[in-house]
Amino acid sequence: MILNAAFYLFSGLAALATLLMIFQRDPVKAAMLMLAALLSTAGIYLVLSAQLLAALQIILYAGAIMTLFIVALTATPAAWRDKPGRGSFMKVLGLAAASVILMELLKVSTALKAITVSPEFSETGTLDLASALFGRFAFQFELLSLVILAAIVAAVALTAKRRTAQ
Amino acid sequence: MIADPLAYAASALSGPLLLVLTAFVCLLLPLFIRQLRGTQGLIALGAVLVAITFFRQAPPAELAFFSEALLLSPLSSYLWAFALGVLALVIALSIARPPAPEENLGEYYFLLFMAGIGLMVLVAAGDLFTAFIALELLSLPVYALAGIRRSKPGLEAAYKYFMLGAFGSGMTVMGIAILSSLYPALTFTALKVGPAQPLALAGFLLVISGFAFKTALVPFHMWVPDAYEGAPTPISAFMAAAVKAGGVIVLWRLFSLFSGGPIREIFWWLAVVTAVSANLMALAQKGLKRLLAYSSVAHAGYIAVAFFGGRQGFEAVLYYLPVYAMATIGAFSVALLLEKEEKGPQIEDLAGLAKTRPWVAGAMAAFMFSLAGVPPLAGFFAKFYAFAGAVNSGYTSLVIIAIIMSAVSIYYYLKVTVVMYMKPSANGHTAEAPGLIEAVIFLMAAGVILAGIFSRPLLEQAAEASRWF
Repeated sequence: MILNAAFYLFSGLAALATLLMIFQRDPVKAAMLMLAALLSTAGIYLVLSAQLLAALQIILYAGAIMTLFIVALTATPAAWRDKPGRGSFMKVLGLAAASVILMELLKVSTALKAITVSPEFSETGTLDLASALFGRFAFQFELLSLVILAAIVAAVALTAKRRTAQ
Repeated sequence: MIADPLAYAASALSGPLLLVLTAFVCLLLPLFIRQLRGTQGLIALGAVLVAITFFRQAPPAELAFFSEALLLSPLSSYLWAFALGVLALVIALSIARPPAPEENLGEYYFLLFMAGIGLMVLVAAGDLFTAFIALELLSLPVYALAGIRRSKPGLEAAYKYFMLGAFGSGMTVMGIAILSSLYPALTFTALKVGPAQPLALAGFLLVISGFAFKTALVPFHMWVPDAYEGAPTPISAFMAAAVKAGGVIVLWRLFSLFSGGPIREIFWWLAVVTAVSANLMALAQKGLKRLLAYSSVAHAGYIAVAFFGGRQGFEAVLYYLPVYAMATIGAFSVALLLEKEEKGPQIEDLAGLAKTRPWVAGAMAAFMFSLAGVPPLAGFFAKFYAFAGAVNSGYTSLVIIAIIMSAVSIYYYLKVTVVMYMKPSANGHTAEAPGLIEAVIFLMAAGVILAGIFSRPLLEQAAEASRWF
């Protein structure tokens, strides 16, 4: 009972924070609201007894990635002045697309009610995660290391100072 | 039966592993050994050629590795040979005209190799999860390669490609998440036998849209013209030949899960909208690379038409991919040859080419006619088999639309040829000593002509490979 209440509380908070974030025009306030949304998502994970996921959510998303956001915001002052335009045609178009997606979501969620996806919550611990990563998904894990390395090299190649740019 | 599957797998996998090794060599060794700077291209080309010689005829069986993440079969070896060929050609073009400043050449070849490995894993992927990671390994380096010169058009291309590509990846992940809740194994075989559910439909739609982004089917094509135009020309050729091929193979795997129903209808509409709008938009293009970009979108539409031919259609797709790759790499090489500014030559710049460089003009005409589908060039047979399969399966109206739009396309392909042969040269092409680019152009021209006149061998290979899907 109390778990259910907590689940709905965190879900509501996450949805509310996301909505407020979308309508926020100040980038820093928007980032803070996104932080609230990420933290409440961590709360949902905790209620679903996925402690590891909750911890990772707080450390990685709320910690590392949000810090990156704030640093990026302070590093690019142009983003502060660059307020989104008020084109009415684009707004109508966006609303139309959003309503289509909302309809789809409602349809899917009614379908979702009919099936039980995972009957019981599993106690996913660090050990299970590790054995999946280095066992069944070892190949994909190694492949991902190449993806990340390629991303790092790409970032360096695109942003490093030119040595011979005199 | 194969004597030793492991021995075959070891020899087959040594190709990609060699590429990984060479990627690191290209990236790191020139930092320490000064003499090697600027020679990364030759190292890369040598490694790809060695990897091609490693190639063994695949045993007639499907071998699954890493809990069905990787499927090695005659199909995968056919597509790996294709991937290595494209990689070798792109490297040859990059050696002829270095697309990046010398200090960045190491990163350039590293990223190119990573994209090549991504393509090889993608076409051999046995489950959606692996396919997605391989797709990221294929696209992430290409985003960066598009902007590797850090010029304005290049960065714009990279930015647009990255933004829309990230959007597509997001949709794919969402779709995979939905599908994995229904089919935890996520292998293509598990998806096939799995019961149909409304929720699965939503998942499949998201995944298909994500891969349609990479294949550049309308309405997921917005990035194509700017990315092809702003990227260094060898990379544009790589996008057209390789990235598209990867998307096509996964789309076919998804398409073939269904024998009817809404997914097929969606593919029907994707094919029609792509073939019609891409050809109409191509009519007004003035830049050669932009024209080739829209032509690439249109060909994605024709390939989607071929999907409807069942097994025969897949055979046609496998024949279509190398034939299209040859013509488009050849055409991009001509663009590279005449390139004076970054966005590549205008079509008007080709005027008088037939006088000053008759052989290049002749090769370019062959590429254009092959893309348009004029017999006896390979492009004609590719389209013929692609459409014949769909007609045999009863999708006549779809094929009629595709043929009409294919006729429209003759206009803009012919325009290029007319400019080359009929218009006097305005600024005068300087005749340079033939180099590596010309070699690639003539190799591709020979390929386009020979694969048309003697289409049997390649077609037989494709038929053999298509049986192992």
